[in-house]
Amino acid sequence: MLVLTRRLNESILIGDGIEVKIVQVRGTGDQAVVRLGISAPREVTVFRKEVYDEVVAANRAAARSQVTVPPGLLPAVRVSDRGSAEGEAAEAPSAPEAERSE
Amino acid sequence: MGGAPANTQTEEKAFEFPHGLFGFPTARRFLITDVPGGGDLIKQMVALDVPDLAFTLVDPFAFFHGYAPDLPEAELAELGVTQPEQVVVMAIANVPASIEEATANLKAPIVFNPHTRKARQVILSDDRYTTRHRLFQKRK
Repeated sequence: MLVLTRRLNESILIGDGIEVKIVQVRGTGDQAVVRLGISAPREVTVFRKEVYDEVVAANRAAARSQVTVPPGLLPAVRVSDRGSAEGEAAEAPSAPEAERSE
Repeated sequence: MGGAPANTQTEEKAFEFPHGLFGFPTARRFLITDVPGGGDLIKQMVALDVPDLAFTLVDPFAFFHGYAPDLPEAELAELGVTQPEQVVVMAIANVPASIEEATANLKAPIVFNPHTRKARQVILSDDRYTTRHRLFQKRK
């Protein structure tokens, strides 16, 4: 891994169109927080690594050798399809509550 | 059954994922097939390039009525999308043995363009969404 030292408001350039700038530095040691400003072409996707890792883990957990839909799932879906508020189908909130992993 | 038969017809119907899926970079082509009784709400997605790899897909708008993914324009453009209505958005579901525990990944939906047969998984920046939203509420 290439390691560079930068000061506040200094940047690095990656390739032709990507600039990463140190926007703010506060705290020291384990408490240190660095804010980065990233300029990149629109087709370049930028994520926090933990978000990316979580999506990879979610995909791996959801992968099956074959898809079998358990018998109880479809009746529940049909209930939700009719727009009934009764039954097992979740009434989805507008900002659904997340099931957080441990 | 393992992977879908790789005959010409299935290959024509397949969706191309130029980047693969996150965690499965070599899975570049998937076939979307019906699940008996699943209608448009539940589909399955079977990999053509990786043996024994399949996912359950759910219609996120049917299960989560306020779902409003903000799809980055650049990623849509890559799929050849000129109008947002062209795309079909599905969420990968994780369906464990206990159905009540089933969750959908609303953070990283899959965007299909049926016109160009291209698709990709998109990570949303919206922090309201995570990779694990329950399809069914807990029984009390």
